[in-house]
Amino acid sequence: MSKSSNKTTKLLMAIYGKINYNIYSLFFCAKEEKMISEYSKENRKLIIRVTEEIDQHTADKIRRKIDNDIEIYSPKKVIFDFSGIEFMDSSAIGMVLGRFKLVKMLGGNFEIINVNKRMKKIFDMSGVSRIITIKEDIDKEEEENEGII
Amino acid sequence: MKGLYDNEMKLEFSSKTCNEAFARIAVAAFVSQLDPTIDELSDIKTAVSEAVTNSIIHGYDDENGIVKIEAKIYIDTVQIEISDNGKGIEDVEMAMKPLYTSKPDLERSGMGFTIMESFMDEIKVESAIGFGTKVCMKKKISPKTEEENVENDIKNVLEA
Repeated sequence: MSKSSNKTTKLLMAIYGKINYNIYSLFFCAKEEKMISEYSKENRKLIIRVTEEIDQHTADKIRRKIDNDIEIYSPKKVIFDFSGIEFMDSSAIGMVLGRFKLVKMLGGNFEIINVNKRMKKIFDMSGVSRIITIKEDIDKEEEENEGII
Repeated sequence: MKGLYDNEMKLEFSSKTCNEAFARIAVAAFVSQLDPTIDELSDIKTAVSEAVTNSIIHGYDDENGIVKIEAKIYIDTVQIEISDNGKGIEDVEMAMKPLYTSKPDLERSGMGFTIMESFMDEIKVESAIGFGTKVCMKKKISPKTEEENVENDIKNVLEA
């Protein structure tokens, strides 16, 4: 691998998140969509998949959308899936904590899944991981059990 | 005339939150000539994002203004200066404390400066009330051999 091509790869990877999102929005015509939420009626579970890097700008939009969803469904369990993004800054802490409070107030459970090393570090530093359960992925066993009940 | 630094760039943009992504990607693209690892690049992106957010929502209080970024490269160290002409910080020491925020209503966590401190090697904050704030951060990019580069890339792919 030549040195210059290596640098180009890195540069591309640095802006990959943005490109990835742009391609996504081209195909799905979802320019304003910062996240996808899925609600399953049987076990009153709301899964939120964030699809764009979280900073102050996107956090505001995501917040509004999620609050709306939580109000509509009042779910028993809310799962925040970060698998779609590689980057977030401290705005995500406030956003996650705010949603956690809201869900708890409504008597539900709150979980974060699929965070990478850096996000885990940010959540650890701010003490979020001491309050909120952070899991690797959706718990399959638990899901099956819920299905039986 | 040859300058003191090996390379430098300046960036000015309006204090709008939608420019945050642009700012961190531009700085990351500039730094990439030092051949950083993805981790180092993400550290810098996070720190820049925090500083720019601070300038926009605290310095300018969501009013119109200009945020300036100056990035300089000296051998293997990158120095990033992010400044605004906003209202300034009254007590810098207090503002840099973890979990201190002057805007809890905006769901700010008060972790901005703490994250900058832990993700960069060095941080200096200068502020004057009514004149603005300047955050100066430095990070050394570790030199790498070609083999290490390949190793890192493989590691990153595996982790992803």
